[in-house]
Amino acid sequence: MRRMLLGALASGLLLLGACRGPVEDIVGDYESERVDLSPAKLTLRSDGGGALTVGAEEAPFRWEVREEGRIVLHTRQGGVISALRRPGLLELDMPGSGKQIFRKAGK
Amino acid sequence: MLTELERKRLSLRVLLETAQELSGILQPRKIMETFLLTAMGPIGAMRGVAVLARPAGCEGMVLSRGLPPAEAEALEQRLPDICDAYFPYRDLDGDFPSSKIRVIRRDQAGSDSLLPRGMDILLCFNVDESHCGLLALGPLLSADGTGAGGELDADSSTLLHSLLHLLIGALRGALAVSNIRQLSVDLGRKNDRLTEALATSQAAQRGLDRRVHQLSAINELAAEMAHVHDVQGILDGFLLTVLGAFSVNCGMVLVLDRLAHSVDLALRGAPDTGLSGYAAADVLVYKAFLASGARSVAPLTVDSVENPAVALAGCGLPFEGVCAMYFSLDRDVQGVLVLGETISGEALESEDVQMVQAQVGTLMGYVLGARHLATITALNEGLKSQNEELTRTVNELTEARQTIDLLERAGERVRSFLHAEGLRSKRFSWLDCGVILVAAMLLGFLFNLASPNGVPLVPEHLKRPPSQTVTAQKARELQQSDGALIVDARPQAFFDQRRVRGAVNLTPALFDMVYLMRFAQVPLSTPLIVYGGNISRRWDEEVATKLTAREHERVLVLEDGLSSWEARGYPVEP
Repeated sequence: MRRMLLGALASGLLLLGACRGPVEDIVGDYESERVDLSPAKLTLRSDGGGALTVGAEEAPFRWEVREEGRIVLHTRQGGVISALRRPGLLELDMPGSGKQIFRKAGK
Repeated sequence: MLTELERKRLSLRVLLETAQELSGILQPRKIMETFLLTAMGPIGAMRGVAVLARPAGCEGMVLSRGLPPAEAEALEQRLPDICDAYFPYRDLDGDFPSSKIRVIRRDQAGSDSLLPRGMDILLCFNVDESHCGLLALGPLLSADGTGAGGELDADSSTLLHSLLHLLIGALRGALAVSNIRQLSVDLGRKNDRLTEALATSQAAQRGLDRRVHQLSAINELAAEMAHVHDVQGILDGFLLTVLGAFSVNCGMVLVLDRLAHSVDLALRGAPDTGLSGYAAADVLVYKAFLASGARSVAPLTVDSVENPAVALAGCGLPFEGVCAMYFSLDRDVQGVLVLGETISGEALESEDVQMVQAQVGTLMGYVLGARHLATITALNEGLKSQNEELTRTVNELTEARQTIDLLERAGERVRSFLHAEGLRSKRFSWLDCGVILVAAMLLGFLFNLASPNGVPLVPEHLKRPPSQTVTAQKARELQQSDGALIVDARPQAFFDQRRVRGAVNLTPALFDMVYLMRFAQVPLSTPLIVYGGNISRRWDEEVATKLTAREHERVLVLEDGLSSWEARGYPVEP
């Protein structure tokens, strides 16, 4: 039993170590490509928090990496938005408004 | 007639000549002979007898002149009788009157027949503490030379006494010289004996020193062996001590264990030529056994190997054996000690060999003790492991017993519990149902509180002021005339299944983000018609409230939702 726990802990640590690189790559500011919108910015922080900022308004959320290339955003009201990570940009599948493209700032 | 002066001069000359004659003579017999010859003439005696004797031993010498040979020889045979008759002083423990001359009249002599007839002048004298003398003269020549001239006159007597004093002095000197010579000879002999005794003593001293050295070394060995418990260490220490004690250049000792098929070898002063191997050691031990006096393998015996240089030749010894011992501890364990030449090149003495033999006996005791100790240690280790295993087994049995007791008690409790529950199940009551129901409700309530998707106990729309509603017909008109935007507040799954054509999905859960992305650009004057809800959840009311909070001027809730829209036949999708 103890060996199984230790094995699971070691595997978790390895997985955490393996995920650390991609997580740090994801963290940062993303800007919307929509031109009909006030400057929209999506911020992903390294502590798992984030925010969508449109104009002067801000909607906070928490985010996590699920499987390869997929990121899930959790709103404070319990909603879930799925995002697909591509090189240098995020593609949010937002209900009611379709897919929203955010490009990483500074790229 | 000679004058008185001439007589005295003649007497002095006689004394002088006699003194001169006696002065160079050292043998008592010669002195007596010379004196007798010298004294008879001046005295005028025709025959004379002189006796020098040791009365204590009735021995001495008898000299005569003027006697027939047979009579002279008979006189010599009568010396003991003469001693008894004339030297009665011998019973006085040697207390002789020194230099005293005693004139004895012939008629006073105890045994008149001992001396020849006519010898009337008898004088006894003492020479020293142990020697006496007797002078007998006569008969005297008469004045005309015809013999039997009578007695001595005063001058002759004086002369005779003076001559006797000279004789006594000469004899004393001769006897002293003789005594000194005898003493010198005795001293020489004693000196020789002392020299021999000294040499013997020195040899014995050297032997004793060697023995003391050997015994001291052996004593040190005994003290050292007390701390050594392995056979190899004992052999090394023993061989080193024996080589030092007996001043031997090289040596070896080995112990062969036929049962364990092993060899313990100690070798010093020479290289190992393979004797540590079992086969070579076996051959050496066998040859030593044959060359020793042993006829059987008796336990704890030591036997000297005769002529080891020949007997052990060809056994691979790295040196020529001078002294060898074969020893046997028991039927399976035997050994050999071989010593090489001594440092001085001298052969070991028989006492040394006996000492070596005795020490090999002591060595056997040490080796036997070490082997017994090893056996005891192995037995103790075995007993210890068995004891530990037994202890472990006892502990396991104890634990098993405790577990069994525990299980038995638990089983008993379970049986009693099941029995009680069985009895109780037959008495199931409504109270039990109530308790179960209350517990289920309580659990459900707690879970709902803890869950982020929990249902509020009081619906939110009951707490809010009711939103403004609109019928499906009016909503359709607003959509067509005023460009009202239809908002579907249901979750996306419902939205994807069926929705009002052109409706936008805006759920309460994603309100903030979707609103910013989709509705931020919608003018606040645009009418917004919200639908979507059921008995437990009024998403339309929630979204309408949030939109109103965002200051949209006309937010309307569609009465009866999508069903009323469809009932009117208005367009839906997909």
